[in-house]
Amino acid sequence: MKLNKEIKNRIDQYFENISPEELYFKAIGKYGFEEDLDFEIDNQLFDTVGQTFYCSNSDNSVDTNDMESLLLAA
Amino acid sequence: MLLQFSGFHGTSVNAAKQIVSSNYESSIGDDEWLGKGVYFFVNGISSKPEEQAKKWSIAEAWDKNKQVNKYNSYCVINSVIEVEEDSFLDLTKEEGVELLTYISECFERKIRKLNKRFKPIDGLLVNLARDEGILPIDVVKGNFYIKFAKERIKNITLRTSNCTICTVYEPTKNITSSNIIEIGDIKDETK
Repeated sequence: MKLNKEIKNRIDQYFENISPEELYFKAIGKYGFEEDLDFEIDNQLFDTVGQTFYCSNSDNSVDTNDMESLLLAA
Repeated sequence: MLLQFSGFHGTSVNAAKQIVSSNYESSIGDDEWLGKGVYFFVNGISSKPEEQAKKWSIAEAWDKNKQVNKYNSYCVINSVIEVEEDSFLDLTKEEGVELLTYISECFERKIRKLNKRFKPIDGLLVNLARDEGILPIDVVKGNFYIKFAKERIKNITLRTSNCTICTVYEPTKNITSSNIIEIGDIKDETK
């Protein structure tokens, strides 16, 4: 068995058509792979860091960092 | 092209009798080395695989916890293995290593997208490639360092391979005949 064009295509197709999540759970649940917990991500570039936060349109909470708000509360 | 070679399997006499009558149905080994299947010593690094099968059966007899042999007589079976070249993954050759390495890289790359990684275990990758229908792998061959009784007692562990072994996934498909070639007393061999 050699890594010829046909076999390479079959391998590529399998890994293209499966999601990382599906492969992950299959590897653990069906094939008995164990996660390498000592794995450290190094030498990787992160272009952007996503940030999500909740911002209400009608926020009536008191901002305790604001001196005027504290005075009003008193 | 059909390939044919001899494989030698070491076990107890009772197990050997069952194996020969059932064509190895009862003897599926550890799957981490070369994947699921029945394991054999074959010609390769060593020119005496039958001797290694014998040493393996003697080493495996010893119950470390109870400090006794689980069985008193060893047995070596010689089986004829036949496999189509297209279903044979030979990890003793560059082409086989190249194939497994490629699967491993694709696997690792996909899992890395989750920022995770698995401990690389060759046999589990072979199982995945076969069971997911990626490759029709029937027989796998590879070189390994195997500890027999002497190595276990003296705690010798080398990185250099000392055995060529193979695993047959479906014995009924790829083993055409099996014969017991040697039976002996373990006590005589460990004096």
